[in-house]
Amino acid sequence: METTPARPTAAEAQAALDSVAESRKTLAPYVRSPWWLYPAQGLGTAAFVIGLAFTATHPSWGTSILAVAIVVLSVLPMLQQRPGRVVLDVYTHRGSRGTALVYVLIFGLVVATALVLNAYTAADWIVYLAGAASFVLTVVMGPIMDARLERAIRDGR
Amino acid sequence: MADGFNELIHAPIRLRICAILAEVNEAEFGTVRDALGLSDSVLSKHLKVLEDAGYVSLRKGTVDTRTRTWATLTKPGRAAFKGHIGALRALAASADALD
Repeated sequence: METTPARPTAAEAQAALDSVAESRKTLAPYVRSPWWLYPAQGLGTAAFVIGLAFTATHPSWGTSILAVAIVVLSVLPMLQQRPGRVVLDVYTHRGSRGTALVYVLIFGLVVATALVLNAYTAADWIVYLAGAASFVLTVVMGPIMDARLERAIRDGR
Repeated sequence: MADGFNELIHAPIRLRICAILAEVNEAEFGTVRDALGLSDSVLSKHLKVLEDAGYVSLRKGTVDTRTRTWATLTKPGRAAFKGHIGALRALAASADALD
């Protein structure tokens, strides 16, 4: 068992704070998501958009696609729990939540735009385009969020 | 004693373990061990102390047919660590006030 003084001096307290900061930095190499995560999530978001938009117009398979998308998006976080890494929420961590918010807002905008335009025009290609945009958005923004998170941890922010 | 100062957490290795766990939702045993450069036995011993205090919860899981252990800082653990960091900051700042 380690022994510690009951009350550290100011210098010892500062040294302890420094060790906390250094320990956090050692996490940086472990926070990157596996390579397949964002492509898989992109497929899930694309299926979500397409399924949601087609639930009314093509209920037979629109609902099925939506259900599959929800399952995929729910299961993906659990698949990240593998040895050699840590589990943290890239959407809420202070180092990446700003970028995550931008991602979520753009995704919401894509979904809303697709639903509205599809409702007025009944053009299916708008929905497929929105699905493709969701995939690209996720594949691009995902690694950016990871990089922001890694940098924040490395910089001790 | 400064408010929030926690002798159990203040032990150097436990402080470093808590620093990592406070940053994540959950960390696998091997990751904490490698990140901090500890041996299995030392990390196990300190995680047990933190677990007994109710600051850490440990969960076993199977990955690729091998059993892995995942550690999480509990809600009381997060509160205690936050309080301890606040106490350390106050102590460190006291030197500046005396200058």
